[in-house]
Amino acid sequence: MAKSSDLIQGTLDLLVLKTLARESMHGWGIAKRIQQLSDDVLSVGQGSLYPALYRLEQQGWISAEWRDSDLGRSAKFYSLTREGKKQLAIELNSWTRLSSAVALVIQRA
Amino acid sequence: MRLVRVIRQRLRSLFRHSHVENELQREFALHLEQLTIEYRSSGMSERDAIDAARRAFGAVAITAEQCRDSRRVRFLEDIGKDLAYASRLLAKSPGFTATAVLSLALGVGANTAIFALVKQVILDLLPIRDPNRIVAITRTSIQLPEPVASFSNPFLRDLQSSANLPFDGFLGFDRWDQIAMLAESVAEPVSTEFVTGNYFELLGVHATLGRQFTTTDEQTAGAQPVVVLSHNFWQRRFGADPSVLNRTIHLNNHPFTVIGVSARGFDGLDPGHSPDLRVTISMAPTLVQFPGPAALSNRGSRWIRIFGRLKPGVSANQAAQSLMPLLLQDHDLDPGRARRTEYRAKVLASERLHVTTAAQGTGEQRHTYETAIWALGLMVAAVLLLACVNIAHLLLARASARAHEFGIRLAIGASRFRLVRQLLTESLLLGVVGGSVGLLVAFGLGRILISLVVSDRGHSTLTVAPDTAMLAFNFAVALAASIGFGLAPALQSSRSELAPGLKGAHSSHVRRLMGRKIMISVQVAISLVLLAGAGLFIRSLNNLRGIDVGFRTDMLLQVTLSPTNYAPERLPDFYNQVVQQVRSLPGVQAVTFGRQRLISNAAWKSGIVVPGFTPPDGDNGPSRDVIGSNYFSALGIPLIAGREFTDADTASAPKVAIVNQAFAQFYFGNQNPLGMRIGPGGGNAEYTVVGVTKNAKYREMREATTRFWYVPFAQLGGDSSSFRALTLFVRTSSEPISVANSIRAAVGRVDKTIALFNIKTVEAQIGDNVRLERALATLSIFFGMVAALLAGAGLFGVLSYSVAQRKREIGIRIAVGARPAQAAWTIVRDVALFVFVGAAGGIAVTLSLSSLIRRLLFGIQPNDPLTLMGAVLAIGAIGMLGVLIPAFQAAKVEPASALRND
Repeated sequence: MAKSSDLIQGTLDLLVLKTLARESMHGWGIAKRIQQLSDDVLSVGQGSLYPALYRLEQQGWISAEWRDSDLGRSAKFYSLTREGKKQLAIELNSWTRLSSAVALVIQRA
Repeated sequence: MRLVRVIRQRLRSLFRHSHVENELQREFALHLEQLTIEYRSSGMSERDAIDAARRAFGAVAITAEQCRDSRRVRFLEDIGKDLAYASRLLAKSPGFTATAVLSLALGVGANTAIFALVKQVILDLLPIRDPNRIVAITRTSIQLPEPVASFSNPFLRDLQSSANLPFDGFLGFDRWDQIAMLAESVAEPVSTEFVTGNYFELLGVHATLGRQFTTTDEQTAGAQPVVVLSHNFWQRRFGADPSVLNRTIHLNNHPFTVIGVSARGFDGLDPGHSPDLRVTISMAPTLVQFPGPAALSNRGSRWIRIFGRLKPGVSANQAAQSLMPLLLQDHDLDPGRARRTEYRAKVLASERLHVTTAAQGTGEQRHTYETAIWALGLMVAAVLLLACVNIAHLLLARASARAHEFGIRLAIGASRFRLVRQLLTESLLLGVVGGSVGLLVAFGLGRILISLVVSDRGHSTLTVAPDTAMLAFNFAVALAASIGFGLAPALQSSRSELAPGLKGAHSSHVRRLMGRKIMISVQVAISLVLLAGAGLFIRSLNNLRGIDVGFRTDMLLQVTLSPTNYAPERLPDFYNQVVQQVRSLPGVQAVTFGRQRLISNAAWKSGIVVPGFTPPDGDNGPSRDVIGSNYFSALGIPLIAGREFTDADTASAPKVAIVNQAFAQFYFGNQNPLGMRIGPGGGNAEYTVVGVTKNAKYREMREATTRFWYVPFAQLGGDSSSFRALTLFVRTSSEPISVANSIRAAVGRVDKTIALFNIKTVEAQIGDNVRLERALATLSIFFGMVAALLAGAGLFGVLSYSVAQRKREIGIRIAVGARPAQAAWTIVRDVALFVFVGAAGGIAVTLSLSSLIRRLLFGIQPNDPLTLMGAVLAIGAIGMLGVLIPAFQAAKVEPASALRND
């Protein structure tokens, strides 16, 4: 089963945006890529992935188009928009601050 | 940039709905496919792999739903769906829909119709430039404490020529309805207004065609015969033909040139009556022979209404003060000053001028209709409230019936808000449909209202034409009603508990019925108020109709003739010829004439000289009429003593008079009036009383007993110039109106330039006089019945619902030995209290409205116990009908089947 509950929503957005920063990808690919890059620790459930993708698309941070894919048929490819890149920078920044703050607390406590 | 993209996304989601939905499904399918491939490659069988993939993917529907939610157009989409669902639902239960829509349409339509009247009669300002600065000038004195609006022409000219008054100008006007216009071969009556030359300019009203008057049009009295047609009349009479300009028309046999047509929508300063045409005041004496002193030059001849335009920022009080010196000067210049009595001097000294805002015109129409319109407004508001309560009943009943549906929707995850929204959408749809039908009702009812209320349709400006205000009011009321009363059921059903709704048990409905019972009280109360009102208005109308007018009203026609261009000495001959011509017509039983048109709100006071009698100060004197021979036998006014005038009472015969009982009682007390000598005020007592008649109604139905005396027309001599326009009374043996045309022809044989004014039966004239009362009675019966019907239906609905809900309980009671009557009582007992409370409340409301109603009633008090009892009985009877059927149902419950049902 997908451990979607382990991922805070903002974190999932960050992961999706970061994944798409390198190249445009379809939903299946995004899920696989996150799984691979996290050494199978993070498994993104479809139940959270697709609503997140639709939300990001509605907010104008990613855009989508149908293209032929490596899967042998056309798929919906998502890519980062200019606003999406800015948003990624913002989210990365706040993530870094948050995680280092958490790390500091854990170290010093 | 981002905003554009976001908006594009939302629009795409909204308008390419199926496309977007399709993409979603394809995307999911692809994902599932990949999962399946993965599982299969790990060694699972095809079938197991598909199952595993499905399990891994989770609930497709929920994920899809979440994706849809994130599109942010969910709200709009849902409204569309709700609307579609609501329309399907309404179409599926036509009985419910028809009842609800009709109740709402009736309530809303009635209110819109009344609103249209309220707007025109009470709210609308005159369609002129800056109406808020237009004021009316009136005067009061100890003799006439009610404001009087008539002034002399010299006084008007004083105002116009005075410098330093806080006014931009003054205008004068007066209406004269009995002018004969000869445009083609036949004379026809036209309503004419005499106005000052600056009338249009001061009001800021422009011409549609040609030009309007200027002050140069009234420089030479009697020598500038020009006429401006009203837009209304131009359309009605001349078919909006522009070639009417510069045409010559004859008014009372004087040639006038048409110089223009006034602005469309401008009906003059009395919004209740739009005159056909206007001529200058300086032409008035040419057209009309005024009784008494010279109309234009004498300060004692007060007949002109004066309006002014205030300078900005001047208060009415200041303005009135500024005019007082002119009034005092007027009193000093009055040539009648030398002959003033002491009392007259006192009256003049007490005279005060008043300046009142006239942004709405003379206010006569408002004065006539205002109270009646408010009463009607209350009635229709009550009907609307009833309709709303009924709709709430219906929606509640339906919400209960749909508890099962809501249970299921809640169970599969719909939010409470979502359900409430669905129900509200349904009410909204009901409101829009009901409002649209209501608009039709408003037009129909508005027409009926106006025809009930207005007697002179041709000159009335009241209409029910759709305008923005009316449409806005209509739909605002419809939506407020449907949403306001849709909300309660909506909130109730959102509270519906899951389990019982699904199980089909109805334990939670006891609480719900409480609201419905309270609504029963409200309905009973409102119906009672309306029924009591109906009772009062009907009895008032009956009282009016039952008044003994003192003469025979059946088959009696009256028609006014106005031979204005006859020399006074030729008048008796003219009227004698007319009487002879008409008398010989088939179907005519008797003919006579007199100055006083009966029951038409006109009266003519006269001074009186009775030797040895000094009238008390402030006494207004008796009324006098000049009549032809055989007047009393033709009208059926009984003589108590003496004789009536005959053809022998000629100019050369001794002068004779006839008085009524009230006159005889007032001036002669217990003495025998026959042989007494009396005379007109300021004259000699040269008339001998030869007869006494019973009292009658002369001016209108409600008048108090009036002192009246009569003299023969033939004996007036030179005086008769004041009595040109006389009314012919024709008693017929067949339907009077069928004789009208032959009367017209008979008058034409004497003189074809004479126009016939107001051919009307006396019964129709009386009908006009009690028109408002009749309208109120008719409408209140209608609304009262509607109300009672709605209340009965509400009662029936609640009780039969309660029987259906409590079938099992009743079944058990009967099974353990309750008699059917007891079972029925269980049901009835439930609402009896609420009906009583409602009835008591209704009586209280009726009594509290008595001050408003009192002014509209004749010969009956607003708290008349008999009427209130009648209303209670009527409500009781209708309530019984609503109760009996459900009670029977309860009594007939079969214990076995009732228990088996569950």
